[in-house]
Amino acid sequence: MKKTIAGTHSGTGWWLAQRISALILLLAGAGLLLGFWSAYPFDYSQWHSAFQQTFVRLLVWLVVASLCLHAWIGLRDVLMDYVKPVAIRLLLNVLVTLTLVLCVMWATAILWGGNGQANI
Amino acid sequence: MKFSLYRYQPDSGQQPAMQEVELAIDPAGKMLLDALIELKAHDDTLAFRRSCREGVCGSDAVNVNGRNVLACITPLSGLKEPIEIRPLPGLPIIRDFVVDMEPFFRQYKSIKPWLVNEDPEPERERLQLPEERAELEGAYECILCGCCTTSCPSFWWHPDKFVGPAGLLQAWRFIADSRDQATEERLDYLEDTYRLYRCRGIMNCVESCPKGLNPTEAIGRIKSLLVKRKV
Repeated sequence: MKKTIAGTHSGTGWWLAQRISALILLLAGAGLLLGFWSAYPFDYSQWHSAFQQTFVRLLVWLVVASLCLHAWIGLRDVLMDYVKPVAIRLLLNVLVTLTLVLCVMWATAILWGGNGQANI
Repeated sequence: MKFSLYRYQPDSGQQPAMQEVELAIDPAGKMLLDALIELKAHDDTLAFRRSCREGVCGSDAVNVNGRNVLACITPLSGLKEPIEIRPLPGLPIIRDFVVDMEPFFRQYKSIKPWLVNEDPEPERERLQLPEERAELEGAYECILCGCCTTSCPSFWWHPDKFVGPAGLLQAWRFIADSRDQATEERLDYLEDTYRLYRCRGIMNCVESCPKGLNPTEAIGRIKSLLVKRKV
């Protein structure tokens, strides 16, 4: 069969997600950078106590998650444009998805994992 | 003036090649099309399309020094030598500067470029308020020359799936028309990762449009409607 297959009736959701994650990255990322900048130079204990605050952890997590979501949509677009064989595209898509999901899970483990809690 | 022309004659059996030509022509007050006609007078194997020679019919779109332009409204004096003329990118080449516009018009056709109105036909015409008519400004003037769509990388990658800026501008033209009743269906068709959302907003279309239209803005308006419908 040699028909053009299109018409998923989706796209608006992903487009919105990309825009919103970009906005979060810009605002939360800039907020974090400014916060670190204003506190600079800081030693280990300051760094440590900053990450004891829930809102710092949430903000960092939000930035990591937004970055991964943004990257997922962007890489999916790149793969759609350049990788035509469906099987290879699916494989690469799965690899990208797994990597990014693991990144978010890893960030979660770093932020809320045992090491951070040790001194409470 | 020095010209570098893309030559391809499929019946000659030879590969496409650039041909360097020098032409004695005074550029003052002349358009590129005048030079092309002059070049053809010297070598009648040179093939290109033209018709109205005043930027209305849209048939003489070519790629000149890397930009898509209409030869008939591009002043010769403003072009850097050697003037490199190629066919529009991203479409199959039939001969020299003549491209097969079929993929372009297939996408144009896909957005149903006609008014859909199920109401009984009125005695005279379907009326619009002046402000309803004003909605069509910047959307109806498209002459379908293909300059925008063939300058769009997303169309180069997906000519079969991405509607392209010209088609999307026309889709907006009918969505925006107060007399058209098929907005839902039109949005349904465009709500797709390829047909509309291959547009990444790089605005090559805006830069290349010889009529000064803004397909990116029209695409943005369609996206706004899609978002409004969704959330």
